[in-house]
Amino acid sequence: MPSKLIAIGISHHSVPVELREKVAFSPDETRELLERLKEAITDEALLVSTCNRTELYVRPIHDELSSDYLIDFLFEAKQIPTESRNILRKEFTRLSYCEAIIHLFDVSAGIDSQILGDQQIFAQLKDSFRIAEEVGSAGTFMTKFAHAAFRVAKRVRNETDLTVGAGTISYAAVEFARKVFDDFRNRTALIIGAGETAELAASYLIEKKIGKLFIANRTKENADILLSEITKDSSYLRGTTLSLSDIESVLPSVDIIISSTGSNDIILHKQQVERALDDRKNSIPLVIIDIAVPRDIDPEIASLPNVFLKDIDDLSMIVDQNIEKRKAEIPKIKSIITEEFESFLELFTKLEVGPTIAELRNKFEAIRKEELERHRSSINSTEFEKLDEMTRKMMNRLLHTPTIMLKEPRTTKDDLQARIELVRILFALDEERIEKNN
Amino acid sequence: MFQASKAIQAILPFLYGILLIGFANIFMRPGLSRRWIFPAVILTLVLHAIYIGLYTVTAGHCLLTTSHELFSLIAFTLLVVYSIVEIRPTEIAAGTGAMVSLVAFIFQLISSLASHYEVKNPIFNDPLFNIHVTSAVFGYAAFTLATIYGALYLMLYLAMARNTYGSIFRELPSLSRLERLGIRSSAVGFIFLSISILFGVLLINKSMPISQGTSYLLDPKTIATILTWLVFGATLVIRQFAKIEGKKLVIFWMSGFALTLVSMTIINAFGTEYHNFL
Repeated sequence: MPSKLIAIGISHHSVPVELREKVAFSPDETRELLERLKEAITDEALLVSTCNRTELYVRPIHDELSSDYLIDFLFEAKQIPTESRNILRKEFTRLSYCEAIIHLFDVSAGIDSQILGDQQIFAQLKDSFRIAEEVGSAGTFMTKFAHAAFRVAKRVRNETDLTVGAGTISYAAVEFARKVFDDFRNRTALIIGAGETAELAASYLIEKKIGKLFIANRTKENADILLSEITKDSSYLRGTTLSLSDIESVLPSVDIIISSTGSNDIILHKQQVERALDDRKNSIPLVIIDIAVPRDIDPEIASLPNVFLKDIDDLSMIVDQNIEKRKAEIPKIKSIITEEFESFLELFTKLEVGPTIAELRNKFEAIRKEELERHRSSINSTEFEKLDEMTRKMMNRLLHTPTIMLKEPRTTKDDLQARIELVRILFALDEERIEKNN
Repeated sequence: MFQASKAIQAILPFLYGILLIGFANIFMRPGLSRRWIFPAVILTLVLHAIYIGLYTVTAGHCLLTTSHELFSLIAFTLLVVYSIVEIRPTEIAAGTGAMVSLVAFIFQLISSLASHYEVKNPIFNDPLFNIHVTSAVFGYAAFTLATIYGALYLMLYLAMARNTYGSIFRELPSLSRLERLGIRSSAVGFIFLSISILFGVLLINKSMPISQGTSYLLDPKTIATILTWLVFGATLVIRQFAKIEGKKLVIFWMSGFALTLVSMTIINAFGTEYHNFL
């Protein structure tokens, strides 16, 4: 009977990105994999594939289904060469029952993320579940399981401070600027550089509805690529790209500068900023954030009035403090997970033991009726009714203890599985089914 | 009615104290629920308004005749102006709330500890005089609030400049919002002080026609008030037209509050002839 939950996965905890990306699934690949799983081994499966993890949760039809089989299934789907499979296989985490449930809850809460409290995973989980629903591999169990995980995420967001403050340098840069300007809609920002950090910072600025965005890079084409990349999913149309030599022309109109290039030389000099400040039409502060190492911005600029110049060390202080605060929230989050786990376990138990209890009762009822029928001709109708009543009561009393034993929630799922199996063996429930099928 | 007014007078410091503790707690522990603060502010304002009403009916004059009475009116007006400028049911900037409730608590505590003075001067029964002084108190309360926003602006500015990312950085609103709230308070104060000056002129015309001279214009209290009014008026004008913003503007309007302090303390004690009614 389908009574297991198996999870296999690979994540940032065990392997670097070069290996993770080998088993990363796009939404289309995810859809394809779930369809193939559905045909081959299970009605219920959920695949979570992000840049930091690929995890497969399966509720198999056959008890014989092993974690290694599922890992091979992933390898096959991604057509991983044999030599890489051997390296990757060792790094896979294999979880079952309670461990698998708690793990998904940890993931949805954001405490298993590379950046503690990262909330991107919540949206990614929802996307994964949506695909499973579309494919039809999210049955009753997987739907309830995913919803329990979403509930954990929502409670963590509402009841704890895990998501308060910036968790990355790029986000801290934007958060710092937001302590100066709460509304970005009438502000202008300049991003210098077109690398990953610049991309993140620019994305955050667009998310916060920055009024105007300049992206400057030594190679203007790369700035163009970055701008089109970060605006492809939004209707943001106020972005302009320029080359580094053109920076000075836009400086007087800029309120926020975030620089993150690979240059070994200073890109923005004190004299340039001084001239820009003279040309500015207002006296609001100018925020300059230098995330580059080595630094892009002349440190002397910090001495200019009405200018906030922050480098990566300054921002690290914000991030470190926030991460410390987030760590302090972990016990609170763990207790939310425990509460939700217990409540899900209760539900899970009902889902698991329901069929066994029904089969058990049906079997007893069948035997009872068979025996009653055998004696129907030898007794009168009054006696028959009395016997029927007596045997029903006897059966109920006999089944009471095993039913309670099965229904009673336990703290570990393995106990439940053992109990179900014990009852099924003792009363030969599976043999009955096999016979019926034959 | 008198007993009821005395009872509310005794309760008010506790209410302001609860607001202070609530706002301070939220400031120190950001995770705490903020939902109860808005009703608590409203309750305090309603009870204080009832107290002012009862007191005015029983004493025959508003809370204007002594410093202690004025302190209670200042606490009330401060919370009223703060509510107008900032407080919303869904969004409460705890840092500013803590500062406002601290100042209001101190004023109300001092006021509640004193027995109020029975006055003989008939001017306290004149409606023009009551409007003149009440609107002045509202104006000064708004300027006090603008100064609190200014002080918080400078605190946050310094914290950011010195890389101190504690409660001040975390809990205070952004610099631009503090500036905006300060400007809004200045505007409210400017309007009330304009009303006060207007009614002051009407009052003087009534009691001292212009033919009897204009020496009251040289009264230090009048001069200080006009200067304060000009500074806050200029704050609004230069932001709009001279595009001076940020720290410079904050320091400018805070200088207006320095004049308010001089007007309220030194001049009140020693220098004014026309503004001495007791």
